[in-house]
Amino acid sequence: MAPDDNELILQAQQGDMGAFEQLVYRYDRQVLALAESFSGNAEDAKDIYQEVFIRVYRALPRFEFRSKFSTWVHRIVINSCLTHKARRKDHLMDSIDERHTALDGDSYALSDLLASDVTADQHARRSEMSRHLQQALNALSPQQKMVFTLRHYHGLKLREIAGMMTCAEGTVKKYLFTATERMREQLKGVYS
Amino acid sequence: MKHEEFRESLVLYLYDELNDMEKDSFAKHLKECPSCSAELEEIKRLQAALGSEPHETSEELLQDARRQLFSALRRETPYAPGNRNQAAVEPGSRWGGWLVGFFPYRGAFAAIATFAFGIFVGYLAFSLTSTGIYVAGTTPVDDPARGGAEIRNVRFVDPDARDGQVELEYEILRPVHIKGSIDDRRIQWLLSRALTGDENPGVRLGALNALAAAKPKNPDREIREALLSALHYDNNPGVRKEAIAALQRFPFDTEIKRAFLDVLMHEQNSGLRIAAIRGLQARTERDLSDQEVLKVLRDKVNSDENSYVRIQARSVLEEVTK
Repeated sequence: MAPDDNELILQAQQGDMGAFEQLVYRYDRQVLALAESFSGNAEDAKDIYQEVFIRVYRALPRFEFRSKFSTWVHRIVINSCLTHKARRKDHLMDSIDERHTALDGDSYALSDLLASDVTADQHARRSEMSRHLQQALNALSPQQKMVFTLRHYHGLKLREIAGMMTCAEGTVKKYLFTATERMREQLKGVYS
Repeated sequence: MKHEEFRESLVLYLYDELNDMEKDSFAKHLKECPSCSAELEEIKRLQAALGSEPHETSEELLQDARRQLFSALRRETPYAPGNRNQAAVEPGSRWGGWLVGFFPYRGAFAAIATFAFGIFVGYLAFSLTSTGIYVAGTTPVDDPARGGAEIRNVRFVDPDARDGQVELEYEILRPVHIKGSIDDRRIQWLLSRALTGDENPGVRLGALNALAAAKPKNPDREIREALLSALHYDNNPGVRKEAIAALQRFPFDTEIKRAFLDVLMHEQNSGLRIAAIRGLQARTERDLSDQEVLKVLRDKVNSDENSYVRIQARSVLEEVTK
């Protein structure tokens, strides 16, 4: 039977780096997915991923099992995402009506894409479309964006998110409400 | 509850974050409030437009992130066993411990050892050597400006200069020139550290090429570990490919076989998968009973996305089953 997290942590704290590696492999896919959906690009996601596990590595000797390891790692991910300075900030406030040039040379605006016949899910899978939706997310405050990402894209309950962000559930509800309001404003008239 | 409070519950309702009582109350309000009903529909459309599938990270990105992480971890201070307070550990004492069983972190120690003990090794180890070793002029501690020394981490012990004196601490990093036989353990020690600890892929490749070209008569086990570490974790495919070639000069044991199989099964770069097939080829020709290798080769024949990899795998299989 595979050892549980606590056993691996104890082994790692004793210097067993194989145990540390197992801990990384247990959670790193989730960490990278969250970092990528939060940052919206692979390079920033890799930076966040690395920062998270370096912080985990440095702090693990002092981990005292007061919380679950997974919760602790999530806290570090959230903190790293919120404090990470994005490499690309040039597109943060683009308007949905601003025209962009695709690789094939065509120009288009977010409003064109959202208003076409293709379903939103299909759009979201397209990298260009994802980039534009990311712009709307990027217009949120980091806290609003984090709550929205965790709830909408990762399906975490608000109570869990509050625990990870070490703030009151009411505050998290407020972030989700405000984030939704601002997203509506950003994409006004496009999805309806 | 007031209308505005219900409005704030819209989002929570859609995300199923209301308790049963709140849900009932909200549902009643919804029937009586066309404004909230319309807003609810609008937010549903927004949610649909945003998509709801969790982000799927590509395997390639994950592997890339892992390589970079393990490369960065090489520069971290290792844990002291039995001590929860992280502290630097004297590298020599580590070889008999957990490090032996976890070769990727030997690279970490290599980097740390080089960094933390570079000065002392430079001064002591090489200055005490005899044949074939030339050491550049040492930098006197009382004259830090001489000998091309780089000064780092200057700290004031006593910054108060009113008595005409200040007291400082600093670290000296200085170039050391060394020349010696490829069979010299110290040269092998340096090459293995350059291979696993240097930031520059050109230096890592240089270390690999030196090992490959000179073919040391008695390659140190540490070099073998460094090569395996490079094969698993180096983020440069050129270095990984050269590591496969260099490992073929070592006795073909289970660990090297597993490393090649791992490359063949999981490596994204098809050129490296082909190099791994060639690395395995010599072994399978001698030992037809190695079912583990044959099974992976058969899998590759049937499923590899690259036609040349499939052809190479088939060719080796045909060769060994003649």
